[in-house]
Amino acid sequence: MLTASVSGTQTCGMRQLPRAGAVLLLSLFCTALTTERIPDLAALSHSASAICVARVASQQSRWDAHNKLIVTDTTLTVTRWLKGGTGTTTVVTEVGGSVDGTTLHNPARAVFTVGGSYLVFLTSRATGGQRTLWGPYGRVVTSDSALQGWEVQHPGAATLPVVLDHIRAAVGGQP
Amino acid sequence: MKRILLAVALAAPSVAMGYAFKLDSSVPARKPVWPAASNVVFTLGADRSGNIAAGTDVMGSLTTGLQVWEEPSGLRIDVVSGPSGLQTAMDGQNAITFADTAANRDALGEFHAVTLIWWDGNARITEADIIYRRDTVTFGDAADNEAYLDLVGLTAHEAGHALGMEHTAIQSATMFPYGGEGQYWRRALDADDILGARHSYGRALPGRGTLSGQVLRNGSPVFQAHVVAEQNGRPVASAITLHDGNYAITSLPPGSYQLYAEPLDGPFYPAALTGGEWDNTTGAGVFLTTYAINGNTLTVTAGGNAETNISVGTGASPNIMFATPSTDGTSFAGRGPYAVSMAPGATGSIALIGNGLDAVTDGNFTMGSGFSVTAVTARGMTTTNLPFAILSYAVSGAATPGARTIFAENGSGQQGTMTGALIVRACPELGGSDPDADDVCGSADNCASVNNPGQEDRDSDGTGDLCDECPDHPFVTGVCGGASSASSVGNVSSSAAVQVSSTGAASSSTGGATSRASSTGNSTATSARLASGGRESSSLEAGAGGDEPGDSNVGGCASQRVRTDGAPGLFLAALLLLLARRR
Repeated sequence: MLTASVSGTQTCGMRQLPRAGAVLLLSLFCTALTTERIPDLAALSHSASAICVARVASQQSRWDAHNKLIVTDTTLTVTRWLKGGTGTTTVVTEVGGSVDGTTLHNPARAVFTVGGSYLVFLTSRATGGQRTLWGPYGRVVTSDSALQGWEVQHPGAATLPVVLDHIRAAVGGQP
Repeated sequence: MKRILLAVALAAPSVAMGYAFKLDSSVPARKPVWPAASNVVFTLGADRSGNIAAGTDVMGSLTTGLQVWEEPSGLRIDVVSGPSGLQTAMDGQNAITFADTAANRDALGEFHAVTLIWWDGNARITEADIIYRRDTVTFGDAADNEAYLDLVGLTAHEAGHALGMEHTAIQSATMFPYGGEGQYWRRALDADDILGARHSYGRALPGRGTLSGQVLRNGSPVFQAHVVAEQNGRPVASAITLHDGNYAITSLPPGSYQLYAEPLDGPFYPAALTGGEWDNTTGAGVFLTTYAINGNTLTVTAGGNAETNISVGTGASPNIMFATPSTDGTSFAGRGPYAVSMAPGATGSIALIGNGLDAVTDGNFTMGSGFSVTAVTARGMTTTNLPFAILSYAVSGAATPGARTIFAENGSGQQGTMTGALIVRACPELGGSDPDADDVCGSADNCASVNNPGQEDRDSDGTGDLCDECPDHPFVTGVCGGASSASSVGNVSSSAAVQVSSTGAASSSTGGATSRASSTGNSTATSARLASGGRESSSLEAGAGGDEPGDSNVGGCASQRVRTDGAPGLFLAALLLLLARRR
């Protein structure tokens, strides 16, 4: 799995970099650098069709309808919708899982633990239903107000209230 | 024998055995692999999308990318053409597909490519299917056009997954998870990639040793600490700890290493590790990047195991990452590019961004051997209050190919690292010109027609001694400053040019003022490094003493002009001929 580029990345202006210097810098960079990056909070928030805080109620791996791939259905009990979504439960379906000793490993799959609490960024599946946006990058383990591991990927966004503020800003006032 | 090895593996504690591998959900975790010496045949579906650059040799690119793993893994890997409608399914067929189907889109998610791996209850890989993205990117030969996502390099990355390799946190490695257009250097395996595959498939090289131990914080094991073995700022290999905090970096060439543990706080994040224990993405969070035994070197001996624990401190080291300027050049658009590939002798500029960077003084940015920070040209805070710094740097013309690390140390002695963020490439890999095959490229070579990897230049006049009529004094108006150039072994007569053929036969011509020793033996040596994934040879075969030629006192000793990895006899023949002519 190699990450793709993402649009809508939060821009941070160079306060103290003179424009001429920046243009020179850009010219130097253009020959050597690329622009690939993992999604930040704003990109995730913009791209997600729905965002929720939820606890995993159950999980089941199965063969898909065509008996070609193993998929895993995760049922989430939603405690709060932050963008889109309705109802108290929702199901996330990801390619990958284990059935009868056979494992299909998909590195783009977000793996959930039954009983665990997560902040989840969701998007539609091409074959119906929904999956986690950006796979493992689109779900974050939460514990009360803390977001475990989140702060290292998104500095300054270590707690759920702070993240909610970021999401609110990113989605234009929602939730 | 296989049964014995399996029993040992099952009985072993859950240790991150160097590098990173896919893990199953067993306790302790096992590393799924193909049966030893398998012939793994991939079938390329006939469905092609419109996002493959015109003229791209798809079959050739896929074959090249897959087969870079043959040597370290011992597997035979082939690609054959298949029909349209090829599906990703457990059907015993290792599919490669560019088809834009709903099922493929669901598996890909937002990623460039993904490899689905099937394994059985014995952690034996039975099938692997590689899916390439149809939209948003164009696959092609990035060495020709940096706007393309390099099909060979991307395939090499996915092929690593297909063999059971997980992402590594060394930014120069093929198995580093993030990348994009132009990064054709991924097609050559890094030392970390090669050693990982060798370990995984029981093909550790003889005479190697191990660094092992445990990473602890306040006495407790640290999960997902990145432990790096390096030599003079050159990362050789690394491991990422599992829940028990243990690490073991195996297959290391004997020599002296520094060892440090760093958090996965970017640019590599725990979410890049999936399967088994890796799926617990909470990780260790942030801690101080910490060197083992206070930065002193550890000695690895053949067959030995140097054990040391690393007690990491609480807090946060400067967290440095590359920043990418926006298209108008007035702001940073985000993180990336994760690694920069440079030619020997090149200069450039990089932008760094991250928390704690403001506490690093200009003089405390350093890079691995062969690189020097020449200036810090701009510093400041972004509008989101992240410190940034823009560094100019120079690469020694004698810098040997391989990865380097960027270091940023704050006033408290806390050090941030970008492990393997810089790559020195050999000329052929850069598409550059290196007619004398000394790995010093084009105009950076002070003697472009003679193999002089050390770039010796005793009079510092910019012309290498082997091309210099007056190597001990700058040449001024046809006079050698009164110096006796005759005292210099290997000096070239102003009236003769010498060419040494690949067969060792020497010929001369009059009227020239330069010496030329073109040796296909040396060229072959360079090519061989590339073909075999030369980054290992560049950083590993050097062993304990292997470092930048420019770091040692090369003086003007003629013996140091003789390459030992190519055809030294050719140079000796050239020198003897020169001496004979002088008499």
